[in-house]
Amino acid sequence: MAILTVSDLTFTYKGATIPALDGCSLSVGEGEFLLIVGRSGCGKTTLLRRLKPALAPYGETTGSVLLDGTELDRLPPRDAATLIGFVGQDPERQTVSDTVQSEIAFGLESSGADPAEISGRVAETADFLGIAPLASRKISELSGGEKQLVNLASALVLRPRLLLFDEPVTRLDPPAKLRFLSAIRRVNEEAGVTVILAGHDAEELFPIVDRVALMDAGRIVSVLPPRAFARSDDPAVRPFLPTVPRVWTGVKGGDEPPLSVREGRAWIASEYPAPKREAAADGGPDASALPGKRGGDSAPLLTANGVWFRYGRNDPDVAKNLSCSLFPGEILSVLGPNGAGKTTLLKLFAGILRPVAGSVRYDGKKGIPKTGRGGIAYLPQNPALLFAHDSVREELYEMTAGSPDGDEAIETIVSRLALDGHLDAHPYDLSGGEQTRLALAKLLLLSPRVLLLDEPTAGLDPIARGEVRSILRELGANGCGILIATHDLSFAAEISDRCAMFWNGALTALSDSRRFFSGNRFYTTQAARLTRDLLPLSVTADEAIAALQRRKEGVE
Amino acid sequence: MTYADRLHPLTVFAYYLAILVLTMTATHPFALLSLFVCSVLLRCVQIGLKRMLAGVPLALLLLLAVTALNLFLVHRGAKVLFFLNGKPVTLEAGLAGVSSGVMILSVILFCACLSRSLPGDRMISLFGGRLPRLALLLRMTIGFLPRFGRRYREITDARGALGVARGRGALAKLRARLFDLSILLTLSLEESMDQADGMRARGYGLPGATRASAEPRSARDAWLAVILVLLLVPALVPLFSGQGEWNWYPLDRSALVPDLSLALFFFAGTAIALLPILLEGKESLKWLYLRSRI
Repeated sequence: MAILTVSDLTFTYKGATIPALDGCSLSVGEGEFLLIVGRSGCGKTTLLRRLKPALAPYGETTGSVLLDGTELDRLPPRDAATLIGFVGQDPERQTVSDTVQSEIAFGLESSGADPAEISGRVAETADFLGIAPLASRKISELSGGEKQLVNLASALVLRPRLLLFDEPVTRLDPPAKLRFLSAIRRVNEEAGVTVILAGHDAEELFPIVDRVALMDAGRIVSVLPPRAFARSDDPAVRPFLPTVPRVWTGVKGGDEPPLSVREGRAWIASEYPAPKREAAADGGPDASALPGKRGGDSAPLLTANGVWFRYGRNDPDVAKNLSCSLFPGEILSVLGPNGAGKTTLLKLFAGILRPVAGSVRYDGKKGIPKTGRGGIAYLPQNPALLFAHDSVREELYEMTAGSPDGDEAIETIVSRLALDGHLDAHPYDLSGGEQTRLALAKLLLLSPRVLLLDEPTAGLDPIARGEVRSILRELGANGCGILIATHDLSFAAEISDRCAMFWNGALTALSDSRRFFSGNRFYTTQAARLTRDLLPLSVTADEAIAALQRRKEGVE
Repeated sequence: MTYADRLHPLTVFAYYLAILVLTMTATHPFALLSLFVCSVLLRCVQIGLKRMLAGVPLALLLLLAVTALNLFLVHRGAKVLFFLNGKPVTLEAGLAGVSSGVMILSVILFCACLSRSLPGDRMISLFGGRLPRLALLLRMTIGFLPRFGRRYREITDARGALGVARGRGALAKLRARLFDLSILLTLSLEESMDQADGMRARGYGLPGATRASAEPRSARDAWLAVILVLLLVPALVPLFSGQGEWNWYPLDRSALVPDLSLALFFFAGTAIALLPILLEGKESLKWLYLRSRI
């Protein structure tokens, strides 16, 4: 039985000419878990917000949305608030109270629940999600992952029948992400709540969702169970496939696409058994295949020598005797949990922070020069910090003011970063991925020699990630040194020459990217998990596909 | 738990409303200065000297901006410093600008104190049931003040590293700082909108809201209310009688010597402003005493 029926929903934002939703039709069954994928800006967020009356954007709507047979707009406000829960992307911005328990109780109080009942329901919900120990903590002291669980609890405590998630784990590090997604899974499986989630986290979600919907330009292109989605011939589907089914599609495997790492390993083991003699040789990293460190012989661009740093006299040390170098043309990724100090490292290199002890050198000279032009460019985690003007065009002109060939440079950058259609848009109206691209465009107009990027792929769809990847590769090839702080493991695996983990104030396990990911058991990519001990070292989907093809030819 | 946490939110709110009205209506430089000192002291007690010092650059910038605006826009006054584009720039306009700047700073500091003494939850519990829109507005306005400093730092860091934000010359630097401020405002507004969405999504503003726990109500509230009213009456006399009104254009130095009503205002106003410091201070002493007995 369908709990939600969307029929021919068209929505146009006030003042816009092109509809953001263009004839969407969708039926979601009671207790179903639906994943919505699609490019950023394709209408996922608009659709989700349209499904929650209190958050419905302003504009013109045609078509209908029925919740359990009742037109959504005719739903009594109390039911609209309690029956449909919404959890958004930014954990910081959704909380409204000061402590965890008052936050969870907020919805109950607003909707007029019996005061005697409130604390019982708060306790029950907090316990179910495993956040009971946080109950009296202040919201501002929680980590992002904890905040997001509190947001989930605040929606869940109202006993909703439908929960909507808009990129809920984009800002979380891998362990927090897994914890949150498994909480959603429990809510869906054990409490029977219908879940609709829009996001780019196909890797973890494909094995657990019932159906996957693909959106493009305001339309729902297809709604299929994940295996059928993986089998689909539609080229538009390919970029949104997670690693395991993508490898399967890449080598045109059997009838049933595997979805999880476990299924994938079983499939490889049965279809592509290792020849006996090869097994031993496969164990270690394949030295010949290691990408050479570009320009490894040249002098480093940036060096940290025994750097110590803390924010205040009595605060704990964030950097402890940290040393590392960044070479021209090299892409170095720093991984590690949120709050470990990755951002601090970038700020030290950007000259925003100064080491308490030790030194930072740029081009062999001590200290970081002040200006960005031809030097060091820094992309903060929130790209909006860089936007001061009312249009994308002005943002870009700001960077070239006074330079004679500025217009030409802007034109090149705009077409390279696919910002053509947005030149007159307000930077704040861009989607997350578009904002990252605009910020990157601003930095590139400085023709920097060093790029420091803080979480450049957060909130990017797979296609935009691919674009950023190729831009960074090209910059690397032209001699730009790039330091990335990220928890996007597969991105780091695809792009980096070297990787390191930020742990206990310093960079540990600093090694070339393939050795890094093949050496780790858990802190590694899906592809590495999929192929460990079964295939020659593969840390990306493309490498796994190539390895399987080689084996196929070798066996035949 | 501070002293304010054990009071009814209405008492706390009434207190800050009184002090804000006093600050915004005070014109005499001595009164403004004493209220400013009190606001600095109270905020210091709340967050410590170190975090106060971190806010000094932003405060100076604001003071400078307000003074400069007044200096270049108001051409009244007798003592001409110099001419700009044929228009006189006067000493009085400068002094009036400084005094408005100090007043604005005091208001900001008292608002920050209010948001600390009466966190969002309690603000909502005070007004949320009957006046949900007012509660939301108050919360949004007062709530983001404490975050301003940290956010401003993030922006200047990021824009500074971008290179373009650093122009040559004082005017270019001021321009860059104004851009930073505009980003700060936009970001904070966006954040507040998201927060308001989060509240509406959970049924905020529906009639018949309930509270999980009752707010504390004790004899202390009544006593404080009485003290507040007793002090407010003399403090508000000059406001309504028009006595002791300070005038910058023209500057009358003899008015610097306070008359009786002004002296009353001065003492009562300062007493009101010092009230929370005394109460919190008493609390700390009690703690020291209790600890010494363990």
